[in-house]
Amino acid sequence: MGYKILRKDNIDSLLRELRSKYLVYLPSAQSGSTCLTSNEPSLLKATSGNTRLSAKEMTFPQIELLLAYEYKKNLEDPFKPTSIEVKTDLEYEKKLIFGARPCDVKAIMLFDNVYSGGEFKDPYFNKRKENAVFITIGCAIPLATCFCTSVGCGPFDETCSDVIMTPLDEDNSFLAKSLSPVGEEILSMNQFSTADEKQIARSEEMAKKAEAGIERIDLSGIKEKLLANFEDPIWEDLSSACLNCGICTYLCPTCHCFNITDDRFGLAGERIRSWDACMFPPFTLEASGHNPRSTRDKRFKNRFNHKFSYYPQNFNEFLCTGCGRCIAACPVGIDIREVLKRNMER
Amino acid sequence: MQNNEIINKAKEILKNKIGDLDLIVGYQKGVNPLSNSPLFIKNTEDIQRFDYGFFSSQSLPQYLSYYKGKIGLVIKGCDSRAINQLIVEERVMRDDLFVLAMPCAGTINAKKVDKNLSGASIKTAKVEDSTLIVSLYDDNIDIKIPLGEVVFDKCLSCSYYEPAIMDASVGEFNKPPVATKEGYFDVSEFSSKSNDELLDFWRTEFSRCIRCYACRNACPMCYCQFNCLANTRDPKWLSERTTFEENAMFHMIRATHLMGRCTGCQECERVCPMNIPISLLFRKNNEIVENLFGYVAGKNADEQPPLLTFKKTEENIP
Amino acid sequence: MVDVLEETNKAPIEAAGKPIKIVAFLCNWCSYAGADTAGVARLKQPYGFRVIRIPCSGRLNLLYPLRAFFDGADGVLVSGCHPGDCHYVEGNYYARRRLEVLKNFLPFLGIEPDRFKYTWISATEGTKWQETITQFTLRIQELGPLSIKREKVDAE
Repeated sequence: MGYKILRKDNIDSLLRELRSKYLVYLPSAQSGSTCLTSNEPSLLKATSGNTRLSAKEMTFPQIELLLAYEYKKNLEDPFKPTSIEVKTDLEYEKKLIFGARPCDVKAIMLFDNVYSGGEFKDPYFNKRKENAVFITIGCAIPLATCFCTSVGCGPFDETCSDVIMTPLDEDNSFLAKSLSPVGEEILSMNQFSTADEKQIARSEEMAKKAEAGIERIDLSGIKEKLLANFEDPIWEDLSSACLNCGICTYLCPTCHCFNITDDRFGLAGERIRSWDACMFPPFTLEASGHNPRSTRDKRFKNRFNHKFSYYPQNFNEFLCTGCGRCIAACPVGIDIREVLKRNMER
Repeated sequence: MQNNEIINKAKEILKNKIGDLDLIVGYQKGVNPLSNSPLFIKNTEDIQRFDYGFFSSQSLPQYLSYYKGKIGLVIKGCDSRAINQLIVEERVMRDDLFVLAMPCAGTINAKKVDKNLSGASIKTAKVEDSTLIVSLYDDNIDIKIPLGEVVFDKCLSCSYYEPAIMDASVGEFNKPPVATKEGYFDVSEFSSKSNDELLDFWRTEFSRCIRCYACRNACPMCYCQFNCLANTRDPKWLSERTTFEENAMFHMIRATHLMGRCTGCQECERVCPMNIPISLLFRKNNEIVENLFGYVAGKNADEQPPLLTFKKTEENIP
Repeated sequence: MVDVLEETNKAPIEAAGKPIKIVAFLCNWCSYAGADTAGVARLKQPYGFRVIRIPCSGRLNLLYPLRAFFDGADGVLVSGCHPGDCHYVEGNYYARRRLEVLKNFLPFLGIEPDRFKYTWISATEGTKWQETITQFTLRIQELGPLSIKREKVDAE
């Protein structure tokens, strides 16, 4: 797996060529908030920070059509019964995501454990994942809300990326490393040139510096600690400000719960899968009317237990990549690092 | 009065009152230096963490939906009307409340600062002489921004700096120096656009909505919470789809249900993760209701809301 | 006006090549009966509007006209008993306040003010109904289709 250099002034030409084969997604500011989109203008030149919405949408969109039906009337012969047309095919375009961060892309591996490991494989997620290529840009300058190194990720983590790029600002270019056959193919395009040993060494130094710059929280034994604190009144205290909105869940690259709903519009209808959040009270509302997580502290506790206790018990990884979006966007200032620290101290 | 004096005086008052109350909701330093977080005080020890100032942007009456009993609230002028409106709607009893009114010269909108600094992480922040001074993580240089550029829009036309309800107060209530604009200036500016521009604007904005329901949950007047029409199945008003039409309908549900009830705290806009200027809709309705019926929600705790009553001959309706 | 109606009676009213959709919310006791009177008297009315009968204009939830617009209606007309003559005594007084607020709010969204109209039509006023709906339809035809429509877009 080789190293190549991509000069920043070659990016436009590279994107033009890539657009002939893929639907290209770039980080961009869409009138007020940032996300990955196939429209301009792009924020590729930004040196730090991630988009508000994560790359989760690329493989797990907010709305997924599961099936659609339509009753078609027989206009020739009104006495023949109407027919039903049902649509369930999975046709997805090939996507290339240019400029996501390692914390976004590692989340695909965490999704994989749930959506592909095991007896039942989710066809929608898997088909989209097969059709997606990730060119990730590592973080030379972390944000104050980043904590990827505490949860097994890092500013230059390579999991699930096809190419990882390190910004080399003095050379006005990126150092690109291929991590898969597709990545190798992309790096052979003529916008990429050979890298020299000094540049590779500088990028490694930058990676070390970036990693050292992120504050580390000690989470050893958090799995068991959280279970031990299950009945602890600390949860009432920690959850007292929570508004039960879905911001942390919807922005999180690893949160993967969904809801399936049916809609009918006259003679047509559809079944869709949409994002759901365990922070919403109706998440655990049962048909009888009983709600096992009827209070805020129970729902709040569940979120952190799922991410740092239940999921690690099943898959030996935290269900979190430390991107810090939940910290930046929480309207009442709830900090996941604080919640974990307080639990560790108990 | 200096900010420290204000904080200390407030702490004294709260210390004396905590014995009579089940809970006091105030402010404390938050994870973001630009925004205070809520502080839930149950004993005198908790009062140590109390903070207040230009970073106390959150509006606290929204927590009255979650807590019952005798509750103390720390409020600024713009938050006070929500309490009156809740009393009018019989959601809280006046006798169950202790309202500590604080002076306010504007609160910082962290999103405006973020935009100004292109998303760089802030290490420290303070306000001196009508200027916001921040230092970044990467530099040791102080960046100065005039206060008027980074306060909330509601602060620029503040007219309710003297709280409409209070049991105790600290300091004096003066019109903030940043309040240089008139009443509904943002709504008027907006209304002057053409139909096509308006439709395009709302189409772009509503298409970005992710239906996180933070605006609804943060609103002090949206106490239906998850019994909201947006979540009912029978009848099903909204599909879960996040298309422009469905998202717009969600905001229409809120706009129609808040007609004549919105107290202008602009929490909805503060909490939106997608930076949608959603409070424009409610402010427009507030302007309409004020023009038609002369009613401003929450000014008094004993006025009849206009849409719950009628006159046989209306003054402003032909 | 009768000439216009002669023309319009032949085919669905169109604007920019698409059939116009107007939704009319009529109160059962006065306005719906008024429209019925117009029909009984064989007064010519344009195509393009669909009536939704509600027991009283006071029953009108403001979300009904809004949902109509966001579902593809080009115009919404609401009509009830004359204020003072409501079959349920006071329903239309409440409606009058609500409808006036909605009327002032819709232009803020980019929906032209002429697309939403509320009137008071009693059961005997068949001709008033004919005039109202005809003028309204012509105006909507002039304004053209409203470019909000329900798109059932599949996820990418």
